[in-house]
Amino acid sequence: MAWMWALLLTVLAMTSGAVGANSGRAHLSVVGATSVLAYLRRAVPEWERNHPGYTVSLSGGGSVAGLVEVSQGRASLAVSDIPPREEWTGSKPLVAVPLGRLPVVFIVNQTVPARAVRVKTLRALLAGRETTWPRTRVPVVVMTRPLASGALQVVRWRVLGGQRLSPRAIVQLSNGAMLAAVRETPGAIGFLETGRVPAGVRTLAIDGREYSARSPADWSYFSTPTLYYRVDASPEVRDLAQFLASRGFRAQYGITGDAS
Amino acid sequence: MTLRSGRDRLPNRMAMGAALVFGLLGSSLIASLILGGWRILGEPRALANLLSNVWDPLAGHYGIGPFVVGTVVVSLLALVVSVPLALGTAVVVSQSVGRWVKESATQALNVLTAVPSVIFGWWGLQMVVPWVRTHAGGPGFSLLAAGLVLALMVLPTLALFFTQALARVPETYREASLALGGTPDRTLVRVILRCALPGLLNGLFVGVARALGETMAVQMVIGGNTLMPSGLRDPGATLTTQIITDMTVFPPGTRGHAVLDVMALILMIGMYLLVRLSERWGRLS
Repeated sequence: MAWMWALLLTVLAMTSGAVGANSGRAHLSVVGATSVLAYLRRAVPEWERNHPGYTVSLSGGGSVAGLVEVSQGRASLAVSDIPPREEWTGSKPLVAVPLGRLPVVFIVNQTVPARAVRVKTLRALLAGRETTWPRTRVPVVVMTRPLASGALQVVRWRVLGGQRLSPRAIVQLSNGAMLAAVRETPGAIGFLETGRVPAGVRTLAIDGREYSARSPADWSYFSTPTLYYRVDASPEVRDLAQFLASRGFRAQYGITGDAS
Repeated sequence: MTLRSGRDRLPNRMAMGAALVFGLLGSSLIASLILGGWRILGEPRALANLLSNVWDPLAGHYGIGPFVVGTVVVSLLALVVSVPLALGTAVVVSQSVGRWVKESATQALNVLTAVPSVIFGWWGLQMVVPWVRTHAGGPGFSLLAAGLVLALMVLPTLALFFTQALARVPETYREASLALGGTPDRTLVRVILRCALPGLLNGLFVGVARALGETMAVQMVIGGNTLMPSGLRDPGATLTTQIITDMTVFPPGTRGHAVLDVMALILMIGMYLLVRLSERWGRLS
């Protein structure tokens, strides 16, 4: 029995030590879209340094998860690429702080002969009406993201005018999985939220416009990652949101300008 | 005396407490799934809607037929590929090799059962999907790729169970068969495999349960397509992969979440039936 008491006391000592070490430290949490996670990972420690006594945790989970968690008071800030809907927030009003614009780039496998397409053709390819690449017999393999993806919403509403993507589209759970799948699959086309032209794939120019990190304003397709907090949020949460939305180095992560 | 008896009872009480917590957690999980799914199950024509082949949650169509088919096909394919290989491995390990090889092989199988599923998925993306694309055509992301990855995942588990089942057959049975003039092959088929059958089936049910429940590795290679697949080369989805794909878009309380609860319930019922079958055959063995 002695060992059991020793174990119990050790656990209690460790627990009380942990509590003691954390006492006086407040914790904030940011939950949601992973598209700007890399930027947040750099910006949040800077805010923590300016606010001793505060720790901030960052988690993914997707835009909808972030909105639900903030609405229910389980997270301090949500990051979302898509506007909140009533069924997610339970009609609770949220304050929006736009981070900026994040390009949605169309990528294709290296075997795809096309470098540029008209938006009409892009629409037909993504909707599954064109099953081979123009002027070739290379079959088109459409890659998409889950319904909760902000990039998918941009593609659906800005390119397809509200139509659905091809019912045969292959679903990839993350930006990384999308990139890997398009890179490895001959004839594949997909889309990414990114500020950098990724290696190993080609980007498609649409209607004569090609995405370039040097002149992102010329590009027409972008998502608008936005921070959301509850109207009764603490001053620190509001301060954190404003801080994150105003860092100059956002551009290094592809986030540019305002969201308007 | 009182203090001593109190101390003596402590481990029992702790064990009972832990069991109670476990029981409560399990019951609350099942209760939450039933309550969550009731929103759909209580609707008129719920079964017809659920068993249809159209999954378009934004338009209110929640047919889970393609996922049930995907789950069954991928699991069956995995078993068709893995059972003969696992049985062959088990026969070799338990019958024909020296002690050192036997122990090494068992350790290797134990290690393989502990490999995280994402590693199998990653391997599937690198090796199986391109192989399927080259040899079977199509995009490579398919039920076939998922079945092959799953086969490799369940293979070590099946081989371990099969090895244990074969090891439980008394050595005297084999010796008696050989002494009566039976060839080694005949002894294997007519005596050893027959005697080990309940244990083999027990292992098979555990393998099926693992195949049914696997999510991550399958999600990485199956394609996540929600249409009814028309062949093994087609992309598709299983109940578990669709839950993980759509769970972030349907928060608790929504109709879509209720359908995901029903899908989880179906899986749990399937698992329960498999466990019961496994217990039944285990008792017989």
